[in-house]
Amino acid sequence: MARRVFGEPVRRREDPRLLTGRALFVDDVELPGMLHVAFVRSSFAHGRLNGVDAAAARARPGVVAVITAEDLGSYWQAGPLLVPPPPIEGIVFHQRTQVILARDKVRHAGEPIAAVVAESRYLAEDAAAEIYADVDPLEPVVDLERALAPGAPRVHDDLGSNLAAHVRQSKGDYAAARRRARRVVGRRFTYDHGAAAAMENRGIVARWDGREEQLTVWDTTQAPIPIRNGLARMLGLAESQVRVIAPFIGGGFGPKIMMFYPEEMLLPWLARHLGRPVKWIEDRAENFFATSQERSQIHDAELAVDGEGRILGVRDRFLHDSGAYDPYGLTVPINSQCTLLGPYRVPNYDSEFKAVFTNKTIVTPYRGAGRQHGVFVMERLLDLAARELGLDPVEIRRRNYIPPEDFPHHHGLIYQDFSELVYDSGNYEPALDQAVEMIGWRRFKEEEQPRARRDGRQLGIGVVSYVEGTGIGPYEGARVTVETSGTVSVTTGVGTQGQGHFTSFAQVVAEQLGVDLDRVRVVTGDTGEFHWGTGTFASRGAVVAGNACHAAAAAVRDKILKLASELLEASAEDLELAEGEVRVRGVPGSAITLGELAAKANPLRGAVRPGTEPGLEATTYFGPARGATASGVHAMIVEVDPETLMVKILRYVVVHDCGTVINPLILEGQIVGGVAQGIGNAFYEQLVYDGEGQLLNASFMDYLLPTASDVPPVETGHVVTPSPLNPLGIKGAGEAGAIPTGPLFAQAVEDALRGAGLGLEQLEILEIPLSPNRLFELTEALRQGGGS
Amino acid sequence: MLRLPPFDFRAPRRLAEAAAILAGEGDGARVVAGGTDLWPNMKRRHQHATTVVSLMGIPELAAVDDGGGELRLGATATLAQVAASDAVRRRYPALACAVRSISSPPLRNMGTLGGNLCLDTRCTYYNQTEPWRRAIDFCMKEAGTVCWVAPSSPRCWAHAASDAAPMLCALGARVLLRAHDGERVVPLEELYRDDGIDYLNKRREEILCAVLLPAEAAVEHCAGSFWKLRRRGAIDFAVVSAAAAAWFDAGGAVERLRLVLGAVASRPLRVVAAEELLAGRRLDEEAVAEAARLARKAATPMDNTDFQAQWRGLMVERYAAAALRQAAGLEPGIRPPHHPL
Ligand SMILES: Cc1cc2nc3c(=O)[nH]c(=O)nc-3n(C[C@@H](O)[C@@H](O)[C@H](O)COP(=O)(O)OP(=O)(O)OC[C@H]3O[C@@H](n4cnc5c(N)ncnc54)[C@H](O)[C@@H]3O)c2cc1C
Ligand code: SF4
Repeated sequence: MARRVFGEPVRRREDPRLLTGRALFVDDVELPGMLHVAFVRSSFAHGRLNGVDAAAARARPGVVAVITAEDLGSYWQAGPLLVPPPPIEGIVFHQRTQVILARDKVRHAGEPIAAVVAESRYLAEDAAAEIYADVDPLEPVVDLERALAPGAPRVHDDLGSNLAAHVRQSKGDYAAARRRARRVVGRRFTYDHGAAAAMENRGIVARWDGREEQLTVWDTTQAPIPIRNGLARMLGLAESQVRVIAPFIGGGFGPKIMMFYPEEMLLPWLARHLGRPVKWIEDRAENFFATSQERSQIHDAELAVDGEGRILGVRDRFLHDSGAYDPYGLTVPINSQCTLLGPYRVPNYDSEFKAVFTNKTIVTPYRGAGRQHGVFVMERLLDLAARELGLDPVEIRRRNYIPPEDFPHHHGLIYQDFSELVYDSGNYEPALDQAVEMIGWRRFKEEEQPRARRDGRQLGIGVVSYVEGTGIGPYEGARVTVETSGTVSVTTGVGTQGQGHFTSFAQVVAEQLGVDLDRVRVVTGDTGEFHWGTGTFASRGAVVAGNACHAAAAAVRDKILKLASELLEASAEDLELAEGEVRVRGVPGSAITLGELAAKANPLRGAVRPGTEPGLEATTYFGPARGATASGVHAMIVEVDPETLMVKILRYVVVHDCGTVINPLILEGQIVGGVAQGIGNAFYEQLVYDGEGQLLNASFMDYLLPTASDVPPVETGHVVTPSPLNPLGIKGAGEAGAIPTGPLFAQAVEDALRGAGLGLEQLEILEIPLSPNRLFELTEALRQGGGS
Repeated sequence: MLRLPPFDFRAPRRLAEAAAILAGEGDGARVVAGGTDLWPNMKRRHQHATTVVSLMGIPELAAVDDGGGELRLGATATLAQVAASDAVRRRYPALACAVRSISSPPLRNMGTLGGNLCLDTRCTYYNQTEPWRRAIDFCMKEAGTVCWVAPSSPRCWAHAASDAAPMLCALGARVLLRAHDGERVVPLEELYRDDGIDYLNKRREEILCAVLLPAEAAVEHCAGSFWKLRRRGAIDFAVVSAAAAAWFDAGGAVERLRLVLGAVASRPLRVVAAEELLAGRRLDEEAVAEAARLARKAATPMDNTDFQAQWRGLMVERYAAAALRQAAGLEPGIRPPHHPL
């Protein structure tokens, strides 16, 4: 038998290339005659654009063209709506999508106004600095609540207000549940998520070959195939005339699934218009202004519980910051609305949100995609209720989990993928037990915390749980080919931004075909190789593309067995695939290699039977009925210095259930990376906008990402509850690590500071992100208030 | 894309040649060493130059000489070299600690000791891109007339951000300055002025050639310590730092002590009142607490770093106390999570 590879912690096969600088990134693409593009961007958050004076810039040496909205002629357009509003009764949704270059109005700082094309980026930037955009500043819409007040300035003049959407979803009868409740806890919560800050900024290279009438675009996108199809439509080309390549990408995290950024619409047009290749590589400041972000939601939420702490119902009203446009529809706030329910049984739920247009950068999903916001609200409500009832945080969660026999669990809401919110499978209590055991909850509470307090040290512990809707449809495809060399090619449409697809997909296929991993070559993200599919997002790569690879490999396996059984004159049941060969079980010397079989399957002469397909190849698609629901529990111990209010994470435990695991090493990497981003969100990162709608901290000097020294080792444990929705039983894991860190941080810091005899017994943390400075303000207010 | 403006780049091999270029080129010329401060500043258009003279090709400026008496550190020795130098680690461990706390390994591989001592002062309203600064209007440190931190103030309060400077001042280091017309040696402390704009007491064309550490400040005679508060465990500048050097008499009382704070004034700030208070006393908890309160009084943290000024004032007291306690051989009193080292 060949060594088992599926489920094994195989090292990532792409890493040697990445680590030695031999992987291709968009900025590595150099083409003869290539021109470089720089953008003139709005320095105002909101303003009337009267005109653009580019005469001086056009006259500069090395400048080939300056393009404004006017110069685009009929190509000027707004980007498409990617995700239409889901079919929810009474939904209000106003579609306003970004334009290629601003025409009458600028709606956020950093919105592109003109593009300069020159022989080098330096010349282009120098010229851009000489372009004068005549803008009359307008009062900007910044604050979420004020945005909806009567008389507020409007981001989109043709709308009656800044309301982008209004959605209400409910089940049961919350009002009645509230009347029966023993306790009702309600608070206002603010959760602010930040910039994805991928290591590689965005970048695009476009080339139009006039002789071949072929457009090739290298793009740092998570969705090369939809980009190809959209570009073909916009440019009036056949889809087969456009090839989009998403090579190695230095991190996606969601903002690169946002489609048809202005630059993405403009560069291909420029290449065709000018007949020369063009390149634009985003710089870090542009990334802060012009790449989509996630931001704030304000929730007014309450939880009704009975005397035992069982949830009777939840009511939530929240505001969601959409930014200036809403091309991604309502994915983020719907995720917040649905994920709030978590792993808990919530019989009555009434949730209503308003999405608001503001003069800020566009909001689209960033790792977690709104799930964080909902999870924060629910987890904090449970903590508050537990405190009122004298329960511990572990106990209140345990009492409310959906029991294992209650799956599939129907929530009666509509999820982001438009299907009903149904949890496919789950088993939550074992994960909680394992996490509590790993972190040593009881020992901490009974011994460590009191002992530390006696030594003047403030330690705190927390535990939270969450679910993650993953692996949504519609579908992905894969093609598996056995070549005559014996090499197996696997090609799929999703792009890769560091998830390890070159390894995990190879594991899936190698397992089916009995070949060594080194003989499997995986290709992703090139529409010239595979052109059906959607992209890498919503923790779906492994689930959807992984199962497509599995199905294609299984189909090839059938072909192999059929052909081999003819050639070896043995029945298929007696054959085995191992070490790159097909053998008759128990008959030594009876083998034929896969390469030889592939050659026989594609003869140069002779007749084949009608209906026979040549070669050992299959293309298969997989589309799940709906998303698979992963889940997990995080726990941590922190030390808080009550004077500096610096927080140090002493232990961090994640127990996770993402169904069948393809590669535990890659899974671990996904979780640890997610936790790092979660810690950043909880304690370091915040996009600070001033009253003028200017982002104040648009650099890594001021926007603080956690460094290696701020992220503790993460201890992981696993529970495996396979998904019934796909043959491999996989659930996604891409976002899990990042989702519940905020409420965990809040709970653990509160635990460290309350009850320490510091006058902070009333401390409640109802917001994320925190910082030592913010904790100082919160605790000072209590200390000043002095017992009142 | 931030980019450098056009300028002449010169890389002489000899010190005299560098001095001659600086004398000849007039106001538009300035030196660069590792460039970790100057290049970003030029890209953001804080600092301007028509000619930039690199010191990195001049071998004599990079040497570390330990004759056993005074230790001489060349100005272009990198921070990594200084932190790893056997002489520094053995004889002046507190300096090694301060230098190790600077930014991150890649920066310490490029940045030099001389560059660190001549670092531009910092302020959140200043260390921003040009469009950002233009959008709020330039402040006094540049073309403007107002200080955004303290609008009624006639002066700039940008703070001295070097981590090596307070430690070296505490240890009583001197620096060798040289120009085309001669050289001089001055106490490092006297190199600094309490002015956020004109922060160095030296002529533009004077090159800082070496730092001289006295033998009396070596570890066998003097107890040194350095504490730094920063947001993350790496990369960030100090929000507050405190450096102490203490000499004790045979009876264990303080004979002499220097306490110098970083990041809370436009120059490394000596807390003379605390030094006087401690002279002749035992450095016990009570003395430390009194001295730390004086440190807080002397510091003028403004709202021009990451954190609120009120909180930073409180931190001055705690970090000064930690530095003094450590010099006295007591428990520093700040939990390790909050110390980077
Ligand atoms: C991300 C980041 C984080 C940082 N964190 C820290 C930190 O935590 N602590 C800290 O102390 N610093 C920090 N720094 C500042 C860092 O630039 C300095 O510490 C470094 O030592 C400067 O040395 P350099 O050789 O690169 O200076 P350069 O950039 O070459 O020069 C700096 C200035 O000094 C002048 N100069 C340089 N050498 C001489 C000389 N021999 N004679 C006269 N003038 C000279 C230059 O003209 C220039 O004005 C940080 C910088 C960055 C970019
Ligand atoms: S302290 Fe005032 S004058 Fe100095 S840099 Fe800051 S804002 Fe400008």
